[in-house]
Amino acid sequence: MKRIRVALAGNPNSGKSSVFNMLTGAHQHVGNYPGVTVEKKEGVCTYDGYQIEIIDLPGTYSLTAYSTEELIARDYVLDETPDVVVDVVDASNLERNLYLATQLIEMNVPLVLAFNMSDLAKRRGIEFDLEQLSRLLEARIVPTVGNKAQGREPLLEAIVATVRQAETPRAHRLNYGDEIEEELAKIEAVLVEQNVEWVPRSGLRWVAVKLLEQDDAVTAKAVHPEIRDAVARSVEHLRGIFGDEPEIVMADRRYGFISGACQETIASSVERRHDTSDTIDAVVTNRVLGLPIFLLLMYMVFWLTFTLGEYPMMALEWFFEWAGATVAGFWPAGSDSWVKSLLIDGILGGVGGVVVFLPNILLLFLAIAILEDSGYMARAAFVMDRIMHKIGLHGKSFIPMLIGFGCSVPAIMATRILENRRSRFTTIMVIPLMSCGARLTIYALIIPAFFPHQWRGPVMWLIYLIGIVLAVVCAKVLRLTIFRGETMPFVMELPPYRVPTLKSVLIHMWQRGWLFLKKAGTVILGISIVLWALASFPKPSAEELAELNEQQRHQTILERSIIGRVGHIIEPVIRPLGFDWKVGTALIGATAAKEVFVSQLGIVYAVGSEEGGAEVLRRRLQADYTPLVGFCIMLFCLISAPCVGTVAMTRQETNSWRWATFQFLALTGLAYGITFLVYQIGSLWG
Amino acid sequence: MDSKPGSSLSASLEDYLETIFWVVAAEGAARAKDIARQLKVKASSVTGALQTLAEKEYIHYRPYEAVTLTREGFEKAARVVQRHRILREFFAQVLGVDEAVAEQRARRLEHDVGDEVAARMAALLEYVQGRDGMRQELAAFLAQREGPAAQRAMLPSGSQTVADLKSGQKGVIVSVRREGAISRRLADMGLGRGALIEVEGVAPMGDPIRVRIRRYRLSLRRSEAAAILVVGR
Repeated sequence: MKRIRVALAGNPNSGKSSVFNMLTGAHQHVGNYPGVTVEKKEGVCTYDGYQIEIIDLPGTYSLTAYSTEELIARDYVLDETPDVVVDVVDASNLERNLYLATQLIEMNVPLVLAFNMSDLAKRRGIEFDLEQLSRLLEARIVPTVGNKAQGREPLLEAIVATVRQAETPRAHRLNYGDEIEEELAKIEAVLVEQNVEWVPRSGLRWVAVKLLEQDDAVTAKAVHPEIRDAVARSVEHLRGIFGDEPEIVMADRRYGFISGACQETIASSVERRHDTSDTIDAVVTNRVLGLPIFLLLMYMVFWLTFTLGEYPMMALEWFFEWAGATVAGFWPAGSDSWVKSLLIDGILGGVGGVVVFLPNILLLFLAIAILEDSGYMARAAFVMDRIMHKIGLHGKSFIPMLIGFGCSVPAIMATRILENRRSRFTTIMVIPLMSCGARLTIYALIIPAFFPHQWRGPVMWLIYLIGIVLAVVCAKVLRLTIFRGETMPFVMELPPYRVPTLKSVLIHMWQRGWLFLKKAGTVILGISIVLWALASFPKPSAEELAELNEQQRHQTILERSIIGRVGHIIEPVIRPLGFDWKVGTALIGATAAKEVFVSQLGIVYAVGSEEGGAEVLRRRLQADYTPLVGFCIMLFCLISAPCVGTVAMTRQETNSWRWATFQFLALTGLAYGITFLVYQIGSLWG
Repeated sequence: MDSKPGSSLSASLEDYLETIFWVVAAEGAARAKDIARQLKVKASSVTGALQTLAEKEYIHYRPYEAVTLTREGFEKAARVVQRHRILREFFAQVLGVDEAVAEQRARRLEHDVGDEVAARMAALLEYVQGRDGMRQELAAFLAQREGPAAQRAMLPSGSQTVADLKSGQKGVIVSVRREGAISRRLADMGLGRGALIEVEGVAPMGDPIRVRIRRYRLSLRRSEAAAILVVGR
């Protein structure tokens, strides 16, 4: 079967994903572009004897190499030379959407335009003369409605027809006006003279246009001094004429060309100045109502993710308990077989530790997909930008940070809504400082043990507050140091409100869930098994365990294990924080998951986890430690060493172990420093 | 300052140019019947004026086709609009004349005031606007002489950038200040010379703002909006 490679380009919010879903159905694959964290979706379909492979390029407004997304899209079109580029255009917002098309036309690619959401355009009373427009743009135009799967056949037909048709040079080209055309001709002449060998298939004119626009990527290739001089002269000359950068004037000219084309081919029968989106915006971005509505929606996202998510989580936990008990049934009661322990505590426990995040992730991305598809996400950023901008983050960063109070793992995944790499990485780094639900179990053990009734609320509140303040400070510091750089212009489209479709929401949810299992899940499982081994070996001899009861047996095994030994070894290091080897051992175990701290402490103190166990444990803690140490334990758990899940997720989302390691070490270092100060100063007070 | 002999236009032609400026800003191009309707003249008399303007290379025009402005035409028209605004605000804010009267007089005088005088009026306008004490003193002085008309509240600075526009106000972009990546991004999004921009609203915390441009909605931080120079109506 003959293959056709198709690249899908288009503006954000043009319904590109819906067209992609319509074309490929379930046959898609989500990955990353090499070396970057930008998502790459691929899919396949067959039509008329062709196997059509479709790449979904990142959504961009332009191809000026201004952002990573634009550069990826452009490089793909230039270097991978797809057979056809399909530009998905929002037919109800034609002027701005055609801007990208003018750039694709300039790149000389075989182009098909999908006029998406053509039903919406029709309802708005916009009528196109598609034949005429198609002649002007020299590309086939197909009306589609992606989310209703309309126009699939004609679009595939147009793709195949474009491939079959021999590549003919374009009859027209976008005219930039005499002054600019003159300079373009001069640059082209120099390019020919110098016989440059890096001219892409888009041709010399495109290179000249990019050079005149002072495009970074193309300029970097033009090392020839003759070319550089010619470009510098032309830019200077045009600056003199227009009093503006050539690239700005050229952008205006492209819009001029579009206005002209639209003028000739579009008739708007109804002039509807105020549409539904205006009415909704008047309420949800209202100066008084905007914030309360935002907070209410955020509360609902949180509630959906964690409160509702608790039921499937309970079911999963129950299932793994049952599975563990079933497996244990293969051995005689009280057996100390390490195979049994590996199966139950290592593998089943590890798998359970992965799957338990799944309900949260699925539900969170359900909520996010609805917010994004409906158009509210942009408004959320709009409402929150003032505050978030102050700490160097984007308005949208608020959502992952809020989710961090439930669990860092889905929260880090949620940073996918941020386009800018610096904002995104900064947000990922500080998310573990939002005190997650698992840490609550630690506070619930410690606070009642050391603090009188009236102080319990305020202490809890203080711990959360410390986390938030640290997150804000760290974000600011990161943006001023390693993630320093020009803040991206906020200039953000506020897309029209739409009703999300079930299919697109479900596909979104499924892709996130699968990605988590495949990438982060395997890492979490691997590290969990290693941690199990560290807590189980080397084993004490059978004689040593013979006379002990069950709790004491667990205690001895842990104390003799590598983790227990390391706990002893690091005691001198954690002494200045007020911790002894018991706390140290529990802290190491807590890397598996924060709530494990409690059960590990229970084992170290040989206290069973049955009813009333927590009270016994609290009394033992009171006997060993002061309230100051208790507070320091909570402080350290709040800030330090993110759990395995967080590490695996940071690795997945930053696409590098380096950032995951950095996050782990930096937060642990910060925790050490702060706890050290608090304990030492607190001890002076007495 | 129009010293070149060929470039001076009659008041009526300047009115045409100004009308075309606004129609093009809103629609992308102007049809003769839109221009006639706006100016309340007969379509037949429009044709002659358009031909004259086309000869002077202020507009692109062929019979039965829509009209767009040339570069010179745009600048010429923008200057008329600018003078119009300066006169109106000077009359209303410095002289304390009634808004409607200020608008009516400005429409007449915009053709004859000349750039030099307009520039000085604009400077004085800015001077007065920046000084609350002087504004009150001036208002009190005028009130003594002429009665309450001059005591009208004086509006803050005339709209010069998008950041100065209030919700519901419109302006046509004259230029975007050069500020590296930002101006390129703005140009890509269609915020270029000649585009009509309308401020639709402000975020709950006062920043960013919501604007409408080329039939879609966009949000801008105030710092970015302040880089976009406009002439307002």
